[in-house]
Amino acid sequence: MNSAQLLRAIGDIDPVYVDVTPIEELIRKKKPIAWIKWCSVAACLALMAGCGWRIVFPKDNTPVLDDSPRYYASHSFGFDSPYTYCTLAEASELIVVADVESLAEENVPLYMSNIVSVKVREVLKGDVHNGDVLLVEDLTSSEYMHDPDIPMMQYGNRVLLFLVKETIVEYTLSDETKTVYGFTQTYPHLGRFFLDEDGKYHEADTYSENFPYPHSWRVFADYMPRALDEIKDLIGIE
Amino acid sequence: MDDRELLELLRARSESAVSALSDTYGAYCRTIAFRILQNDEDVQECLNDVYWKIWTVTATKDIHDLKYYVASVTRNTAVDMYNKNKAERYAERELAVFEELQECFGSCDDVVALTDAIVITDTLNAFLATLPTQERWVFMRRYWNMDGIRQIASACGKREDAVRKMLSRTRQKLKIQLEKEGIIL
Repeated sequence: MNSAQLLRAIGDIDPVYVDVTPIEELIRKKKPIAWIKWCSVAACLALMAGCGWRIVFPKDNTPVLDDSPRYYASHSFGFDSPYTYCTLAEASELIVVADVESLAEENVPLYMSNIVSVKVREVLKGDVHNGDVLLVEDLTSSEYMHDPDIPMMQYGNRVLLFLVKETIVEYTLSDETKTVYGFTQTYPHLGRFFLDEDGKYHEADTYSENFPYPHSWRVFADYMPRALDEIKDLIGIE
Repeated sequence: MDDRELLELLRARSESAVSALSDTYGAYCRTIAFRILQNDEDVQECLNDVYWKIWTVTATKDIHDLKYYVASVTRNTAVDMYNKNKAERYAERELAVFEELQECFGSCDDVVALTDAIVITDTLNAFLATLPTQERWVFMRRYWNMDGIRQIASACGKREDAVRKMLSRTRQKLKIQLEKEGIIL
């Protein structure tokens, strides 16, 4: 037997294993993801506009500066329009200062994430809600962040956005964890795992019609609890 | 024209069946065949064979999934043509998938075990059943559909390197399985 025979033999494999959908169609089906990303950017811009409004017309006309740490966040959508988060009172300062290097010189902590909303800036503790943004320092590794994508993961039936401090820290995660983490980054809005009252992860019965590979999620159903435990250990969550 | 109407035409041995088949699936078949043969002339010859085979077979065989059947016949016909003419026509541009599958044989390619094709297919089916779903999907997209690694990566939301590694691991597993079954020595 040689590779030619093997290639030919693969052609006679059970049809249940064959997906004859042209690959171009499968790639096109991913378009909604890009669309959602752009929507996220639009939401961010809207939030910035909101911040701007509050700056121009502050409630009491007196900026309230506090001691909260300031964060710089840039999105990862491939165009040069970083946006910033901080306390609302400080927004004007950071929005104007959008240059990473100058922020670094001022010792402003750098964070990298695409942020839809900032509601929670605490490490994952207590009650969290869908869309909460959680400040998680040092989660990132060089492997993940040299190609920054959405630092997002499913936690139960909630999608959490991690505001990740951009430092290069080498962590050793299992391949399974990387796979789950990578996949939830890619399809965060399509995740269909949920946590039941017994603390077990399950798949939902339905998938988004935009999601071309429901079978792929099944693969991860077994990995999810272990992977989440590993990530939670990593970031020191009880 | 939908598959049901097309099958009715084929079963009725209608003269318009082949042109209808070509209208409906011609571009699809051409894409599949070109991926393997990479030559317009060969592709056209392959498609003629494909239409003839489908025309002949539909008279006697009950086909449930025409799209799969057309893809399968096209793929296998193109691979057969490639294998048949490999030495004289394709020596300069060997398919990348050949080189990759060669890994399964290592340096012992000349030590051939004569095995019935059905046994090989059964072994492959059993092997695929043991693979995780995504790994199987990637393997099949690469070696059945012969999709490019970049396309596969894009379709399943992985990096190209990750897909390459996954394929390499799968080939190693396949090699072990083929050795275990005595298909390669």
